[in-house]
Amino acid sequence: MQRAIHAVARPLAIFMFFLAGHGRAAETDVLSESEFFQEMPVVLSASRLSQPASDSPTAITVIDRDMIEASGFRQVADLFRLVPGFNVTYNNGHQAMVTYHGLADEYARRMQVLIDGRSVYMPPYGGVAWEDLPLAMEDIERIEVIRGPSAATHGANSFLGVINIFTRHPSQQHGTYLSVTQGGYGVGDGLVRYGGNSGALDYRFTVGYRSDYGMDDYYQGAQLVYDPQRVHLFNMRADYQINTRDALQFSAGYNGGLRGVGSKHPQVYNYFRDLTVDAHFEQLRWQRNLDMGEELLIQFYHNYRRTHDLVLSDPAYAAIILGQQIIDASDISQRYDLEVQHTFSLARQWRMVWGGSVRLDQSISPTFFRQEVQMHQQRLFAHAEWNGNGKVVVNAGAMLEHNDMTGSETSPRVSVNYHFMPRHTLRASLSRAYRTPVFLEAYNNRHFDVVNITGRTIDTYVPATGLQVEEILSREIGYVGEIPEAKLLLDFKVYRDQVGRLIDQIAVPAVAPYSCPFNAGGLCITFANLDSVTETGLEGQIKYQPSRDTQITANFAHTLINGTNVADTIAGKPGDFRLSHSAPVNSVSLLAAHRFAGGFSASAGYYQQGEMRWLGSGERIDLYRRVDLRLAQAFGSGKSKGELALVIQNLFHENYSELRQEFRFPANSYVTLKLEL
Amino acid sequence: MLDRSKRLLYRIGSAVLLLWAVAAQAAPLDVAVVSGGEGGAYAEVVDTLRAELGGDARITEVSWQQPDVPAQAEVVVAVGVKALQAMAAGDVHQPVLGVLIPRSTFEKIIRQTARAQEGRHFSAVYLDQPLARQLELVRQVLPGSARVGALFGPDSRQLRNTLEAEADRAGMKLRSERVAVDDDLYPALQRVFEDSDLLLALPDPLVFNSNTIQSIMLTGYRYRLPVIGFSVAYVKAGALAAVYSTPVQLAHQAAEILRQYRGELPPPQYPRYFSVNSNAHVARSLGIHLPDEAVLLEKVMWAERRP
Repeated sequence: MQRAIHAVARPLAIFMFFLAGHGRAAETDVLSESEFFQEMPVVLSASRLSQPASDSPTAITVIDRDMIEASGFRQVADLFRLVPGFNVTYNNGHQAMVTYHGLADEYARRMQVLIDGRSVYMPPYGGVAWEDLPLAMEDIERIEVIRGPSAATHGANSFLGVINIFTRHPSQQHGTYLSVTQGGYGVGDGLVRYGGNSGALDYRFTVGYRSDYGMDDYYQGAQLVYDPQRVHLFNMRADYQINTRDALQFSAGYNGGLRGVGSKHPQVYNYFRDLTVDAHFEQLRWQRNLDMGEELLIQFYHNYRRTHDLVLSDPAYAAIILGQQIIDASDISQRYDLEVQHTFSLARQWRMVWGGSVRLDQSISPTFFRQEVQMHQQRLFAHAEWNGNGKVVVNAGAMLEHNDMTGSETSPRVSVNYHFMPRHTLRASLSRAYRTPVFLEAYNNRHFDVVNITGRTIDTYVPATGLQVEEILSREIGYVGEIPEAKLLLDFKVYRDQVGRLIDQIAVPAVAPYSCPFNAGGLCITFANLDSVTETGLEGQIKYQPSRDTQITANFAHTLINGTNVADTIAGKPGDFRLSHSAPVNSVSLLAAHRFAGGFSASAGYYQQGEMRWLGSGERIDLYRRVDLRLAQAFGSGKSKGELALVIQNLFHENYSELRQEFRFPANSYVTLKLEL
Repeated sequence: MLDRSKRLLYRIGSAVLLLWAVAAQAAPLDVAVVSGGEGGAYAEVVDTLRAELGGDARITEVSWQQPDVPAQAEVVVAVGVKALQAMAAGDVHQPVLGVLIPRSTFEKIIRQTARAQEGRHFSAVYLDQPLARQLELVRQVLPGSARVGALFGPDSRQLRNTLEAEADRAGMKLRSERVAVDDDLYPALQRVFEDSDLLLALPDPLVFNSNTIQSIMLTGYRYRLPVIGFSVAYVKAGALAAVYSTPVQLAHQAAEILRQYRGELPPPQYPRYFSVNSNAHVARSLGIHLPDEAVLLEKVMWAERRP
């Protein structure tokens, strides 16, 4: 695997260094006229500029560098606590679950997540392995969260929302950067980054290490959870400006190491063990900027993730299958994707983006699938924006997607933004999107071959038959406003989303060749389009920035989910509809940060989540309130500077539960020293 | 009788005078144009001079590499720094009008050659815009901005005091940093953006070049602050706006000077004709409401006409 990285990265790096060999033209001793007539590369191109929230077809929340710093978070996933309507929890100390408007289990399948335009949700599960991303918090420039379906511009799986992470351009990271973190619960992180340039080539290399013992593993006196993590991280990015029109970007990264997993919870029995992860990616982007904001973008990327995990079968089965069995729960998944995108202006008031992509998703998993599974997917998309006299903005677009699992679907979206007063906008938007089932839903055949009884296979899951795409019809009315006199930025939305054909588990009688003797009633579990829900709600963000040194962001969300769950009805336990509780009715978050004179800064975060119950192995979790505090002192100036920061998470020691009762999130603190040389 | 003959004589005399005056006026001005480069801006200047002066001038083109100015030339136009340097160094006795010459460069060349060229007259239509005009553009595109950020390198640092004074006059504060070597740039940029409402780019190849432009524009964008450029290329790259003069506009001004030429050049002067260019995409993304370019230009021009 590491050889594979070398195979791609090294020749490329050499190639780009070679290209960059020529330096700047010789300087004359006086300022010449050429400075005034010199052509320049287009830096703030269409794809780098974010559409202002007031013109966006869907609600957008931005998390910028300042907020990332002020939050004090160590893990990327925690940042989404700062987005209205988002909920974050942990399946253990490291496996984060992030969702918008609920409907999520251990794998939040209904969201698109992009890093520099690279889709990172996993082909077999659909969710994002946040802890396995080859991404360092320090390398993130900003995160744009699109709160609503956005298939027309962000591709497949942009169902409930899209998380769009942009990493920093290496020209922003010249020099050496070091960071060391030490804290309670085994927190020990380290990071070294080196960035530099050679002519028109800017590059950075980041090597990092992240470790901790996870959550408070002891519950009522017994160790119920085992969840340490040791993450090794490598990341590089090189940007080469070929000429004033063409730019090449190459990124690659690796994430590996041990993750402790296991739970002694009676209902989700799981041995304490270490699994290992190897994940890497390679991405190449070529961008050509033409006149009048016209832009052509071609990118290719490859994601790879392998976990190595050996599990012992449930001791309860030992008598029947003559001793305990070792189950190989390892898996490999890969994605190859090639995309072309063209942006241009038809006329002064029109802007268009269109393009297409082809993708191959593959997965190998001895316990879940009998053989390698794969899916080919093609898509075409077009999006137009019409800007009428600065008063009205109309966005319309659609994506046509075809795959060899569920066929073809068209996801359209249309929105009208009306600037009824300068700096005040009303938005009405209507969109439809689809979600293709993930491999684990379509082809799941979880089983193990009993080693000491030849030919005997025990199934627990059987592949689905006739599984269809999920669909969402989303209506939203939003308001985006700016009150400069009060230094306020406002963003509110009310919405009504009808989500249909939701895929859920159901128990069915075993049909040859499958047999599920260990399941309740001998029934096999499979997936089917069972549920439909209607989500309605109100959410918003208020940002108060009285000066550049002070910023307060408040988020709130009120979410109601209604609908029916066929599986629960079939299983004879109607009434308590689980999907309704998959998002808290109310959640609130607040981040306040201030920089004092003399390099001292302080920030506080408040996170409140109402009672809810995640799907999958989730249990009812009570309302919790959590307060985080960060104090930092900067020192030095110019090229050599640093910062010493103290972060206290869960300051008031209110041990709340994540996902399940025994997953207690403790109070913890850590100290980070950062040096820029 | 006498009166009549006197009158006749007077008439003949005045007719002769008039004819002589007409003849003198009609004699085309002999201009030598020394071009500091080929094609592009240089060609635009020469073509515009030819078109605008028409029959009023006889233009001889000379290359800066072999600056043999014809003896009959009455005035020399040096297009570009190299051409002006060649004229300053060479043995040319005619007055020289520089075009496409930044002010700081013009002053440096004159300082270096002043003693050797005593009695000769150098003048120029500067390539750069007066700082007051650039600050007026800032006021028009970013009303209410009180802190102007600037980065000075070796070629622009002499502008610092002038800019500070001009900013003062415009009711703004200057927040600037000096950049001596490449490595200083990023920290200096950060300090400037931390403490200002915009960055005013001033030509200096050490600070602003095609390799540093990435860092400058991206840093500005991160702080959600605009860059004000000094050429169309900067606006294309991501600057919010720029005030600049095209080669045609500069040549137009040079042609006016030559048409008025009576043996002496006026003092060096800033461009009288200029354009404003803005980047609507960047403005929108930064949430800045920009007037049309034509309106902006009108406003900047109007401000200069005020007493």
